[in-house]
Amino acid sequence: MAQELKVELEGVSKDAIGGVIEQEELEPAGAPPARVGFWVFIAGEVIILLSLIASAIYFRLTYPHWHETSTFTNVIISTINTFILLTGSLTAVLAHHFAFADAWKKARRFLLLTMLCGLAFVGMKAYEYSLEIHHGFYPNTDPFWMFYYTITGIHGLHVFAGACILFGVWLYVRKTKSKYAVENAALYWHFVDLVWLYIFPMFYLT
Amino acid sequence: MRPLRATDYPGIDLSIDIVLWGIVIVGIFSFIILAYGLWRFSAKRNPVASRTIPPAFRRLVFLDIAVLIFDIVLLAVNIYFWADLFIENDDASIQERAAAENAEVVYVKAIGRQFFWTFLYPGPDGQWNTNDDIIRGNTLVLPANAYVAVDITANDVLHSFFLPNFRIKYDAIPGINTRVWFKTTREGKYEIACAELCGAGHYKMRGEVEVLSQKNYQEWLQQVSGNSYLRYASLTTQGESTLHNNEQNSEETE
Amino acid sequence: MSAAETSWVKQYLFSTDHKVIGKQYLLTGLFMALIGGILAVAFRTNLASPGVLSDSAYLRLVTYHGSIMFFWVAMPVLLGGFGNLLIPLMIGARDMAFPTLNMLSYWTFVVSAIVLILSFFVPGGGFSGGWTIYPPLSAMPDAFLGEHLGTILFLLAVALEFASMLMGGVNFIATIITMRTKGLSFFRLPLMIWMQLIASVLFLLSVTPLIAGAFMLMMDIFAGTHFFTVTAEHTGNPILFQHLFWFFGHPEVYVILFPALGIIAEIFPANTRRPFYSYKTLVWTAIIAGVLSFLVWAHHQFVAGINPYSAIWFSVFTVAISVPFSISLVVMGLSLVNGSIRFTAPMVWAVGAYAMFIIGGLTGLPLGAFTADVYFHDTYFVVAHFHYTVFTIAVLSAIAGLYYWFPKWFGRQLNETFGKWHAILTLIFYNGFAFPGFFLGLAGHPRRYASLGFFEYLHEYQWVHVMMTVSTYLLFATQLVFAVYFIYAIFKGKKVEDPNPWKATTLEWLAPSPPPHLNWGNTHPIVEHDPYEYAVNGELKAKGIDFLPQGKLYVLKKSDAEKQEQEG
Ligand SMILES: [Cu+2]
Ligand SMILES: [Cu+2]
Repeated sequence: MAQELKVELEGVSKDAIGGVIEQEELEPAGAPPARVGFWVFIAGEVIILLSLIASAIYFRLTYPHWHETSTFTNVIISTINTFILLTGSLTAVLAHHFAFADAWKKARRFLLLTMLCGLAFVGMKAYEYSLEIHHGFYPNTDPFWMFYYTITGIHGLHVFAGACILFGVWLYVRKTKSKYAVENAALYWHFVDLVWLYIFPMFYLT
Repeated sequence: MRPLRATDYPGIDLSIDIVLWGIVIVGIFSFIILAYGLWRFSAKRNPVASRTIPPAFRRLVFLDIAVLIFDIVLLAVNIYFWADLFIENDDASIQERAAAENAEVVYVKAIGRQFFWTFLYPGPDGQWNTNDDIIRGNTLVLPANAYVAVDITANDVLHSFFLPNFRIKYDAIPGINTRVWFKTTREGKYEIACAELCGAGHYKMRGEVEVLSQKNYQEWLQQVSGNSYLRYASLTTQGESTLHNNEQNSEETE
Repeated sequence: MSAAETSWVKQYLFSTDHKVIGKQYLLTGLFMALIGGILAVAFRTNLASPGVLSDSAYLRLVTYHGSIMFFWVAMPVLLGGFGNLLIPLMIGARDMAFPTLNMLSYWTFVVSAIVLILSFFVPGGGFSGGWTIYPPLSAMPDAFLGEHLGTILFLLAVALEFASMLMGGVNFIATIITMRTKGLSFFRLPLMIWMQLIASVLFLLSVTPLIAGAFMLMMDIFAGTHFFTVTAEHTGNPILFQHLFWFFGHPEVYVILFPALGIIAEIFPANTRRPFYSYKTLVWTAIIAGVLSFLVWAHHQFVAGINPYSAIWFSVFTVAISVPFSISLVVMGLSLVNGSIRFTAPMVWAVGAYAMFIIGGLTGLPLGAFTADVYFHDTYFVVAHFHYTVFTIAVLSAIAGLYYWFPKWFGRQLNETFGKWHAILTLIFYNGFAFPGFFLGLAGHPRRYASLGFFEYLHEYQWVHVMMTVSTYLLFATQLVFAVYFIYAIFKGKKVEDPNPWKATTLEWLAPSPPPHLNWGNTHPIVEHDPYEYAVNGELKAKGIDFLPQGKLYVLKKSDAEKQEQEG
């Protein structure tokens, strides 16, 4: 007993010691830090994209040719891309589900599938850009294309980053089996997906 | 401390006076109380602290209420003059004001450019885009006892049209037309400063306002309008073309 | 893992220990402050005797001075330094929630500082368009300023700094929300922690729109878009950038203001020996001011082309924000009443900062009241006003905090007499350089003028500039002496014996000075009381003790597994 009470902390005053306590009594009751931290991060990302979208709306109100120009965007490719992203969301949900059910083999397989969706999206998007540039639409052509390239470009970078994160998590969970890593990767994917669901009507369906 | 006031319009000076006297009084009062508190409750004079607060001091909460009342008065005065200066600043309102005082209205366009001002007048006929339009560099000539409506824009970067003697200031923004008005009262030469960073020569961007008597002004007007071989319509720089477009737009809406 | 086993690099350079990272931030911030100070001395020399610097060099120095003091001094010191050093100790945690992210945040900051310094020396020179980076001036550097590379590197440096502070912010929020020790509910948090939390949230919510704006600005520079630039064919909108910038810019001031108020709020009760008049009022006024700070941004744009009707609301909210701040200052002042004030060095600094905040706050009113602001906008009145807030934040409050926590962090002492003289001299020279600014503003002296020589109505005020410059020299010299003494004291100062030299209540004073890695050894702090239990009555009073620490250390019982491990 006396052994246990020994304070292995030099330089504190005796008055500061209140007694003995079991380790279990200390477990913090709050949410896991990884979850809170990631939600905060996502909140920041959402505001960045919302500011861009708000700026686009602000310009759109004063630019009379927005609607005409928007008919030149490629609805077919973007619709396929929408489906790719939604499929990715489904596989992300499944990965999350299996991770929390401790079926790690399946979970990792679905992580990889989600990542492939991301890469497919980026590939399609790059092809779409090349078509548009071929037709002579550049970022400095007019306000529509300016925002089109800026916002879809930033979104595309996010999708690519998402794919990288998914790959990283795929490697990371092999040993660590970290549920929160899978949860956060899936969360990030959903965020990227949700942003696209705003962008899609804004540039393609107006 | 403020430079000589060249206008009898009191709005901005009055707003400044109220707020400055207010903060000086509140500030001095706070400092006296703070100094007293630090002296009275220093460990030397008050060796044992207590958790209570004597009621006399609790009344300091009224300081917040004083600040609140001051805020409301301040805002009321400011909003009143702001509406005068920047909301009712269309041609009709300015003409109305001038008519009440039997004063003239002068319309001017000011264009900021690195690092000088260009002023355009509609000329003796009072119509824009006619042959007697006047273009002047860096000196704004005005009659005394007149309401002056200035439409400001810039054609490279941001500038700010600042007339310390008239207490007026407004940014010159490329692509956007903004309107300020002020009243001239005293004859004399005054300065125009640039109050928005516009590049290395910012501090040299000096213009002048020359307020002439009514008679001298008319003479000047006749004299320059004939000589004004440059018309802004013939200029190709963007500021003017924007100005020109805005002009046309406003004519269309009328 | 004991200290001997870890390599020097891991222990001091790439450490994940919150205390090491905090000290790294502190010292890097101090170094950058030195640079920012030298810049100020240089351009003030030009103001006293015009012609020492070229026109663009003057603007460049002003631009870098402002940016450095804001982003590379105030933020790293008050958030990176004080936040990292204090949050885990004050909430009874062993480290931050994400120690590796924390280290990454610091090193991103270092890279940003290096890029910034590099940008100054590239061909064409550094960016000279002001810390507000207003386009079109900044969006077409080739056309207007002639420093293409310098502008790009400057923007890159700012972007990296934001990234670094965002990593820190996420970490702070997650740590404060999830890692508080047992018994430490939100309304028992020391005010410093509240302020760090509010500041981190404000930063996260305000910087993100500016990141979007910065991205558009970069597109204007690189891709030739016209978000903010205007040409004959393309009409961008320069005002949009101002909206995005000030939506960030105003809360950003509070991001550094709140930690500064937090420092004062820790020093006051420990030296008045009585609790706050109303702890909860202080928390709520900070939250209300934080919320209001998002509704006032366009008070920087009253004469910059915004809608005159919306200007009314921005003015009303701006003036309204004086209410929570006046309440919070009055409550802090009332907490001196019936105290037994000990004028220790940190207390002298804190009182000085408090007094200067009164001036800084009051002089915000002429700028927030929009009709008066027509005259004051972009004059020296603005310069004087924000020096009374930002200098008070970044220098007076920060140094107050350094004197207060120095024994805890470094296990050594700073000389009390030195500290008091340092405070008095700093206050005199500070007012000597900042206060005349109000008169220059009243005289209509626009800011960012390399010289007033071109304007007749300003000629008579040249002597004021000379006086301000002399004060700046003296102020800088004073801080230089302090910096030398500070570094000396870190290594050679007198060791402290008592872990709680100020007899303060919050948890960090329970830990040894300096606290070991992971802070609490085999004990753990548990919170049992409110944070500022001074002037206690009853049993303790009879024993001659006037304070009740917020918590106590409890020795952890070893679990069975650990016991076996030890035996085996
Ligand atoms: Cu200028
Ligand atoms: Cu502000």
